[in-house]
Amino acid sequence: MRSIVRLIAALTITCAVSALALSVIHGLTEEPIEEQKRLATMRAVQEVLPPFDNDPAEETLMITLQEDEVGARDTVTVYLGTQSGQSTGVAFQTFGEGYGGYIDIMVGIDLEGHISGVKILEHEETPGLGAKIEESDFRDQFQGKSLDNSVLVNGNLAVKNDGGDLDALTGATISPRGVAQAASAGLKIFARHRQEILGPAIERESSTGETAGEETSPAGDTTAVEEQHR
Amino acid sequence: MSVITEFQKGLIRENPLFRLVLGMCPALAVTTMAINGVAMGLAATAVLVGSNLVISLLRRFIPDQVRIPVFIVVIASFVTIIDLVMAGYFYELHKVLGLFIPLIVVNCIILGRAEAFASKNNVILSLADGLGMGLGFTLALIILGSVRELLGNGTIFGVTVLSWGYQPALVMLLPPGAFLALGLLLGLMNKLQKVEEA
Repeated sequence: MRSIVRLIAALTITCAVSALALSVIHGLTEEPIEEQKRLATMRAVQEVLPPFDNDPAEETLMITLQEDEVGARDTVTVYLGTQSGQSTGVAFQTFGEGYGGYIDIMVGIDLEGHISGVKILEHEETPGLGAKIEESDFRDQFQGKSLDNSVLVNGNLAVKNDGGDLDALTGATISPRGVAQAASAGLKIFARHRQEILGPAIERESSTGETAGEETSPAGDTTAVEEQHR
Repeated sequence: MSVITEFQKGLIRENPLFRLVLGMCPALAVTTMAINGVAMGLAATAVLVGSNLVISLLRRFIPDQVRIPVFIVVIASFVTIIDLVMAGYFYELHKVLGLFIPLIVVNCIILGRAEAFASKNNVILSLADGLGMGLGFTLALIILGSVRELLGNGTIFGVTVLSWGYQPALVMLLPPGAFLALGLLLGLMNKLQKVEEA
């Protein structure tokens, strides 16, 4: 009987000490970890945005996707880039399906709907093969791509093997396909939510006469503006 | 039974990977690049030294019947600490190795050393054993990682070594390459040992 008590005591003490140690370490590292994640996101945002001079971390907005939209979380945080107060473009996170799992990317898009940059945030692709999607040699080919100037397959940007115009990687087609999928999702989401995202900016442009017909629409009334577009 | 002997034995004579053939899972999974081998090896070393230290200190207080659960709790705690610290301060590396860090818990080297050495020897010897075994494991992972990176990508530590006219053998970076490289290295080690003995 005494030995059982001793066993239980030994295990209980071990677990209690371990739990205590872990909670202390967790408390100490929680902030640095959050900070690292935030920094990684902001580095990606700054890399993909068109030229800007604001702090995109300070100018964000949330958009909610409709049910038929794919390639991003239901609620997307959009980082806005502006230069001398004028919008230059946006950056937000999308994903595509790769070989080892989902590929999360940060995609930057300028006001005309051209991709200004793509950065891989997270992936589980094969090191040395699919993982080369991280390299700028591959990513740079997305720059300037839009839904209007590229060969689309089923309405998406696509790699050459699938009939599109993007180069795949040696020995890896599925990973580049995932990135193309994510980038296309970004372009489509931007096209659909353009008014919502750039509402105030469109307003500014309209006063210079570029989109004269919409001057009367208040910025908040996006549906009316979209109707006019169609 | 000096400290030096205990430290040295893990490096070559009882190298955990090439001699004891323990810890195969992380060894095969992460060694696509030499740098991954360094990181995984050092993370495992940190856990090994920590768990050897604590288990050696506790060896008189842990009842025999529950020693394995106690060892596992101690090891798992150290692994979690390493995981959190890496995520907080070495974020990029953690992104690459993150998946494999929790696997250190079930790395047989660590439980093996706790059971076979730290629970029977004093603190100083256990530290030397843990450090030696950990560095031996790191060394083995670096060798394995370098061979695979060289043959599969033409580089070592990201520096191009084989450039002109060499067509990288991609298979070396894929899982079969891990087995091929490990098998050949084990064979080589055995051959060298026989030469030494003769």
